[in-house]
Amino acid sequence: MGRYIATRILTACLTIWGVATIVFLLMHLIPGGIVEALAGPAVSQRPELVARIMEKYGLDQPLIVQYGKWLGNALRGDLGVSLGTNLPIMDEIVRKGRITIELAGAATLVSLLIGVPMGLLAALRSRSGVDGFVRITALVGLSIPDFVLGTLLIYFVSTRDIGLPVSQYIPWSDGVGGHVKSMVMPTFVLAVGITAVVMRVIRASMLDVLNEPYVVTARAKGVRERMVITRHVLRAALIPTVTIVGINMGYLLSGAIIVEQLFSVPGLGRYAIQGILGRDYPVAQATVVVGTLAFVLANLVTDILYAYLDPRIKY
Amino acid sequence: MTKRMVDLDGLLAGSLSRRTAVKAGLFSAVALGGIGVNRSVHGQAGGRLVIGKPGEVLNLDPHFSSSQITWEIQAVVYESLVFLDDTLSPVPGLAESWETPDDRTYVFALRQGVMFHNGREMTADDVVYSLRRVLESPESWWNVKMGPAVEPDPATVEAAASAEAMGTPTPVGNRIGVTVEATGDYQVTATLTEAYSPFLQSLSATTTSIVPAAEVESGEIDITTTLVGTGPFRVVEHAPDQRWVFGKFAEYWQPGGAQLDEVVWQIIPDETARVASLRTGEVQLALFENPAVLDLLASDENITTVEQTTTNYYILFVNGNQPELADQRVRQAISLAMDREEINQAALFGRGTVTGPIAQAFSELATPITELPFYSRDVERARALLAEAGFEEGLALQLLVTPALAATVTMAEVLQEQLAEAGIEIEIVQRDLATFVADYTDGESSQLAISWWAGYSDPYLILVELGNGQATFIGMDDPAVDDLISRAAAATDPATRVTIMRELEAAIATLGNFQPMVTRNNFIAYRNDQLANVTFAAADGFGLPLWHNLKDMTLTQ
Repeated sequence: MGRYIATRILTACLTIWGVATIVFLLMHLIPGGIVEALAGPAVSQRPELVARIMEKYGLDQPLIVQYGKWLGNALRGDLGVSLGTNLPIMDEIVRKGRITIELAGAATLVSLLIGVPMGLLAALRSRSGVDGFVRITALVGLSIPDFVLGTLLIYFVSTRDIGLPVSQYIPWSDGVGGHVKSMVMPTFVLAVGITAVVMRVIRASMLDVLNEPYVVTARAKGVRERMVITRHVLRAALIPTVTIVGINMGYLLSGAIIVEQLFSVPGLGRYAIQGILGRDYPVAQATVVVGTLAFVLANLVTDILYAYLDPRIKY
Repeated sequence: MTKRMVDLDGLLAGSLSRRTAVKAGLFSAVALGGIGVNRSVHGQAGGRLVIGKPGEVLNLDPHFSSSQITWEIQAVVYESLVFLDDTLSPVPGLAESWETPDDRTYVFALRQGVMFHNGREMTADDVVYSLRRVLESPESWWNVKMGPAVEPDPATVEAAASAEAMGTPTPVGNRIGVTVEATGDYQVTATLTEAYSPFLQSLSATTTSIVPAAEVESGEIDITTTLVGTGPFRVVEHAPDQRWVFGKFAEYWQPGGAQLDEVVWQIIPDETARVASLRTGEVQLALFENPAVLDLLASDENITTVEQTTTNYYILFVNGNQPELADQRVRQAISLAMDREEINQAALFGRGTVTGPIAQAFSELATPITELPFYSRDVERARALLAEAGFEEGLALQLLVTPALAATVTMAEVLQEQLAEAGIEIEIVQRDLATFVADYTDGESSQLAISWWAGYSDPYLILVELGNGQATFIGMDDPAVDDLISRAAAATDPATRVTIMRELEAAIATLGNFQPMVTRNNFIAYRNDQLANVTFAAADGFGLPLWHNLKDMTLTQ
C-alpha cells in the first residue's frame, strides 16, 4: 500500500509538471496578449508602449527563460502576481479556493444525501412507480445544462420573492444566514447533475449486486433483508459511486466555471476564465495547475478509498 | 416605467448655443417629471447604494489604465484639474480657475484645502508630479492627446540606440511639447511649444488624475493596488471578483460632499443576473451592454431606464494594408453599400445615432451625415467603384468580430447582407476578445473588423489616433490627414476650428479606412423607488454616466 501510494504521488507530480508545461506553452502560443488587454485596442499599435509593457512583465525575455523562472518560483510556492490586478496569485487562490471547496463540498454532500436513498429506493422497487420517477428525474437532471437551469432559477427567484439573493455572493463575514442563502442556488444547480449520476449509478449497481450468488446465499442463510441490503448490497454498490463522486469532485474543485459565472461566486473557476480571456498568463497557468492538483488528489483519494470499501482490492 | 432620454442632438436643434441649449433641455426633462432634483423632497442623505458591475478592474494605475471598467471605479476616487459639464465642456475641477496669458501658456490656480484620502492637503507639487508622470512615462498612452508632439530629445534617442545595440530594447516614448512647473504653492503653469486647442479637454480624463506625489514616489502608497485621490468617495474594502466598497470622504472639498454613506460595486458578470438583481432590488443601479435589456425592464414600474447619448461609437475598420482593400475606391464602395440606420435598428434596436468620424453629439463640429462623402447608401455607385477598381465580378472579404462585444456580431450579419447587394461577399469570423484585439491591430491578420472606441470630450482626442503613423494598422498614413490634425490642434479660433475639423472629417470619410457607423450609447437602469436625485450629463464620452453625478444621488429610505 505504502509503495503504491508513493508511486501514485510520483506519477501525480509528473502529471502536474506535464500539464504546467503544456499550459505554459499553449498560453503563449495563442494569439492576443496581456499587452492588448492592458494598453487597450487604440494604443496597442504603438510599438514603444508595447515594448515597455512587455519589458515590465518580463515578456520580452526568451520563452525558455520565462518558463524556467515561472517553474522555479512555483516550486517555491510563489505563483507570481496577476498582470491585470497586481495582486499576489497565491493569496487569491487560497481565498477563492476556500469558496470553491465549500461550493463543491456542499454540492457533493447534497447529491449524496438525495442521490443515495433515491437510487436505493429505485433499485429495491424496480419497475415500480418510484423507479420510474427516479429514472425520469435522473434523466432530466442529467440532460439540463447548468446554464439553462441556472438562468431559469434566476428568473424564477427574481419574479417571486422567496428570500434568496439572485446573484450575489455574500461572504461569511457579512453574516452566516446571508452567506448560506447566497450559496443555496449555486449549490443546487451544481448538485442536480451529480445527484442524477449518483442515483443512476446506485440504482444500476444495486440491481447488479442483488442478483449476485453471495446475496442469494445470504438470503438463503436467513439473514434479515435489512442486513442483506446494508451490509452486502449497498456496500458493494457504493464502489462505483465513490469513483463517480471522486471524479466529479476533481471537476468541481477545479472550478465550476459556469455556475460561478452565473451566480457571481468569486471562486477558482471564474478566476481561471478571467486569466485565460484576459491573457493574464500567470493567473491562467496557476489556476490550471491548481485545478490539475485537485483532480489528481481527488483521484488518489478515490483509489485509496476503494481498498477500504472493497477488501478484494489490494495494492 | 418612466423613460427619459437625454438626447443632445434633439435639444441642440435651432440656433441656441451648445451650453444654453443643454441647460434648457435639462430643465425640460425635469419639468416633464422624469427625475427629482429637489433633495429635501425626494431623498435623504446617508445609506448604501449597490451598483451592479460586469467585471473586475484591470490595471488600477490611474495614469495608464485604458479600460472603462476600471475608469468607472477610478472616477469616484480620483479627480483632475478640469471637470466636464453637461455639454462636455471644461469647467474648474481641482483647479479653481485658469488664465491663458497667451495661447501657449496656462496658469492654473489650484483650490486650497483639497484633501487627499490620507488626510494630507493637495499642493502644486502633487499636480506637477501627476501631470509629468502622464506626460513623460513610456507607459503612458494618454500623453499623445495632451499636447503637440515634438521630436524626441537627441540625447535620449542616442542613449536608447546604444542600449538597443547592447541588446536591451529601450523604448524612447512619446515626447509631448508640454512643460509643467509649480509657480506657487497653489499655482501650476503649463507651457506648450505650440498652441493646442484641446489642452483643457485632455486634462479632464481619469488618466490625468492628481495623485499624492510624495507618498506614491516613496512607495508608501502603491497606486497599482489601491486608490488614493481627492474624490468624494474613498476605498473601504476590496474583495477581488466580488465587490468594491467605497465610503463617503468626510473632508471632501465640495460643499455638501457626497450624500450617500456608502457605494458598493457588486460584481455580477452575467447580464441576466444583473437584470434579475435589479428587479429584486438587490442592486439599485446597473449599466447594460445589450440595449434589449431596456425593453425587458420596461414592464417594471419601479425601474427607470435611461439612454445616455455618447460620443463613443462602433467603427468598421477597413484594413488598407490588404491587397483587396488597398484601392481607396473599394473602401469607398464598402461605405456606400452600408446602410447605417438599418444597422442601428437591427443591432441596437434604434438606440444609437448614425455617426461619422465626429460624433453627432459634438453638434457644432460634426458634419451632417447626409453631407458626409460616401455616407449615404448608393449600391449602384458602390458597384461602379468596385468595377473601376477591377472587381467587376465582386470580391470576397473576411469580417472579424468578437462575441465579447455582443452588438457587433449582429452588425456583422446585417453588413453581410447589405454588402452582398453590391457584390461583396462577407465571411464573418468570430474570435475571443484578446485574439480579436491582437488580430485587428497588428495590421496583417484582418481585412474588416468592427470594434468601438471611446469618443472622449472632444473629437480631436479620438481623431489624433488616425494621424502621424498611429493608424498604419489599417493602412492609413496620409500626409493630408496628418496636416489637418496638426492644424486642428493649433486652431484656437472656434470658426477656424470648425472648418478644419469638417475638412478632416471629410478626408477620413473619403479615405475609408476608418468608418464610424453608429454611436454606442450608455444604457442605464435604476430603481426609482429606492433612488432619488438621479441625474446624468446630457452626453458622455468615457462610458462613465455616473462620474460627477454619483455624489448627489440619494436613497429614499
